[in-house]
Amino acid sequence: MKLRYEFSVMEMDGEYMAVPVGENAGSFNGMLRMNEVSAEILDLLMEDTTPEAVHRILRERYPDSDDREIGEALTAFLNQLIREGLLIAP
Amino acid sequence: MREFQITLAGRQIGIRSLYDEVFHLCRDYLSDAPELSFRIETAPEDIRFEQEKSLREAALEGKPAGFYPEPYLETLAVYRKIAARMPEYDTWLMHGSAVAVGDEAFLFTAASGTGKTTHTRLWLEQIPGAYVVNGDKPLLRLRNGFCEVCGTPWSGKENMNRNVIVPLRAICFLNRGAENRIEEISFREAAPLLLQQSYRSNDSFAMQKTMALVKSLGDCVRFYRLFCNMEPEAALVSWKGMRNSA
Repeated sequence: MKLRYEFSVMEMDGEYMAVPVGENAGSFNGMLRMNEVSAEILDLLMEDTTPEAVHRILRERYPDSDDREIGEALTAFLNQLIREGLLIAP
Repeated sequence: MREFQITLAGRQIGIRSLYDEVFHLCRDYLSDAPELSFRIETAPEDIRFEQEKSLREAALEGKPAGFYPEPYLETLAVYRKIAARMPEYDTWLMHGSAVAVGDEAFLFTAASGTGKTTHTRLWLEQIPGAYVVNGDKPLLRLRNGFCEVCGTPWSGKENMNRNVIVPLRAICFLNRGAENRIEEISFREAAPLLLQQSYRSNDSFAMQKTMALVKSLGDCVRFYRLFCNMEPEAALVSWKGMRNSA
């Protein structure tokens, strides 16, 4: 899976904003608002990857976090991206 | 083919256009400074791009397709090219109507059709000395920790603009309401709205720079949400609400 667009991301007062850029960015007129973990997931999705690989990296970055919580956060964000047509399935 | 140069937001811009329309539009902004900040040039494919974009947007909004004369479309293409370069100079385009009173400006922004033009006219009628810096697409410039709003000739159907640069005091998000009231909002609330109204470059460097500029607004401008109707009182409520805040 991979993002349909490249994104520019910026933290603004504790919230992360992502705006699509690149050749076909004009076909998505919205923006994404997210927390820090989702912004990290978005960054990982810039390259072709799998949910399992992203999950594994998040577990390494957040060793003190509950594994199930990480999985739920990842699933929720991936579902959001799919709903908005921003994720290309393998 | 026409070649000339203009000054926008303190930058010298060379323009080579296919039609004279751009030159006539820019007549109040012509300059002859010896050094250019950058130069832009339009080609037939830029004009086609504007027409196709217009058709795409009309389809998305469920509006009838509009076909525009090429000279007009070229004016859009020229400003798009200028807007794409401006973030290099800490300057960017934000949709909205910028009105100045004395030595400070206020930017009203909102979704299309909310009533920016109506509210702007109410300010001109109700507030002595008020004038429009740009009624639709001003440039904002950050300099030394302050934000300024800059007149440009691209100012929408009403064509209200003045070749001035004025310190920006506040940005106000308009909403229709039965009664007039204004409230100050935080940058966190304002940030997504500001991004939505800022020109979005497809270029990742320019977009990243634009986002950084928008973020800097949080340190130098105040933000308000106005609920307003079309009565003259609406202008007085927003003017007093923004002017009187410490």
